[in-house]
Amino acid sequence: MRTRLLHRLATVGMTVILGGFLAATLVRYAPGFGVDERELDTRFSRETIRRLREEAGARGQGIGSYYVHYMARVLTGDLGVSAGFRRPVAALIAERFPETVRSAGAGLACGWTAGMLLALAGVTVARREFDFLTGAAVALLLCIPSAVMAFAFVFAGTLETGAAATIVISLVILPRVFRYARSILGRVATAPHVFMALARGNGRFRLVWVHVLRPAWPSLLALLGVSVSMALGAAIPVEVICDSPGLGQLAWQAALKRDLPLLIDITLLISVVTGVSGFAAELAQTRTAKGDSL
Amino acid sequence: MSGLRRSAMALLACLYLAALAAGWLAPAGYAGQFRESPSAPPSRKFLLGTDELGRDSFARLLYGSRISLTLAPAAAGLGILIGAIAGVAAGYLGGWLDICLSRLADLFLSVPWLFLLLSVRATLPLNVNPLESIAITFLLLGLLGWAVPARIVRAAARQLKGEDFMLQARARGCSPLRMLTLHLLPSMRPVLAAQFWTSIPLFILSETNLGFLGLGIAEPLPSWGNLLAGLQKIDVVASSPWRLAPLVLLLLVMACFHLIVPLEDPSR
Repeated sequence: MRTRLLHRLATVGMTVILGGFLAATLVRYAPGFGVDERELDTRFSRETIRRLREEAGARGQGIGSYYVHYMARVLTGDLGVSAGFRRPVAALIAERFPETVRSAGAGLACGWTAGMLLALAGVTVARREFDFLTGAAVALLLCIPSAVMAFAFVFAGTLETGAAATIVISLVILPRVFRYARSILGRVATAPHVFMALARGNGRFRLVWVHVLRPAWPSLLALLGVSVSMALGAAIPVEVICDSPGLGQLAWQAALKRDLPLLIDITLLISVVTGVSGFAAELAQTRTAKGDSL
Repeated sequence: MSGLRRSAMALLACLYLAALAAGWLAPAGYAGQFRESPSAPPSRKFLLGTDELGRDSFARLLYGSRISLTLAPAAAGLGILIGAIAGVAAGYLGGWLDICLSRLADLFLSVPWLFLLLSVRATLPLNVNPLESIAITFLLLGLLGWAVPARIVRAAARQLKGEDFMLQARARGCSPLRMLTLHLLPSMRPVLAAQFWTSIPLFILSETNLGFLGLGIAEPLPSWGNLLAGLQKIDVVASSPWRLAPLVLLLLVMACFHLIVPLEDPSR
């Protein structure tokens, strides 16, 4: 188990190193790299334009040295200055990150709670009508793009932006969690040990809690790790449409301004968050499995 | 095959045929402007009215459907092809190739799908002509969407590698190429087909989200993404609800795909 966790941790580290390299390659070889449009601004003096060209020249180095410089800067916490916002990238991220953590975190919690409750209700009730209704509602949610869902909430105009973003993210998470949880719980609920417990006269609550939910918990924890990625992915269109000043909106603004260093830094940060959440889920999974085996 | 599934496939086929016959059903074309009737309501001449530039909304919907319904499967096919090659190579050959390809797939999967799309899309020029924007959008979807199929194909290839028929084929002296093409790949057809059908709706939704954010297909070419972006004008939609037609069609198509194959990919 420890080896597996170490392996997982090494994977997160590798993701940062390899992701950093791919990110640096993308930025270095993106069309227009090293060209500053301010050179066309007639208000700048010749001296200023010469300086700008020098800066661009310093940036126009080979991919190897560019990557080394990039990673060295990242490791010291210097993420550079955003060309689009004319502000340090670290400050921009620090400003926007809490908003995304709040909306994605709350959305994740709400979506998970609702999805799990629905799945548990499905297992407990075990009626075709209930499964049909929940299945249809969930399918409808899966069919709607998150941007359109966010727009519908903005259109309704009854909620403030943060709350709307949270609800939309939870509606993105809910159907996916429900379908997986329902499938996992449904499989466990038909296992022989559950029939045995039922025959022994266990109450319905005890049956679901002890004999269905506990054995399914490791698989559900794995799903939790993936849900973080889903919530962060949904944050882009949701924050843009709901005008919520988070990392998703910042990434979109950076993409429109082709502020590549900023965009790549955000993407790297998000991949680290996703990797760490996957690691945490695996750690919790290991602990749960250990507890069960004891 | 259940009746519901068959109906969904028939409906999809009808919609696709209608989209293919767009030139005949809507001769005005997607870019033709009727400047004397901007924002017109539905009529016999304009079945779904016109937009603010006087373009026939029905024609734009049909042409947009043609683009989305043709290129999303093409992108899914590309993603599956790359995923199948990588997955078979990793699962069947194993060793360092397996480790490297698996780490690369992990890397692609560690970044949320939309962040990955947005980052790579932004590195390419934004002001491109409409045809280039189509190529960029759907090639990106295909080229970046290989990781999930690769992982699934790898697992299937590893499992199949130890099957009796594979061992028997190897014992009979089959060459690796023959083993792959005659024994391994045909056995993987169900896995690949399931992945293909699962990828199409995901790619349609991704294109829609990109279009909604202004990073999808460029005007005047219509796509479901940029048609839905028109819904952002709240007052216009409130006064002319027929503008919701692209959304209704999208929901219908997604529901059809949903009935054909359950959308069960939590990583995107």
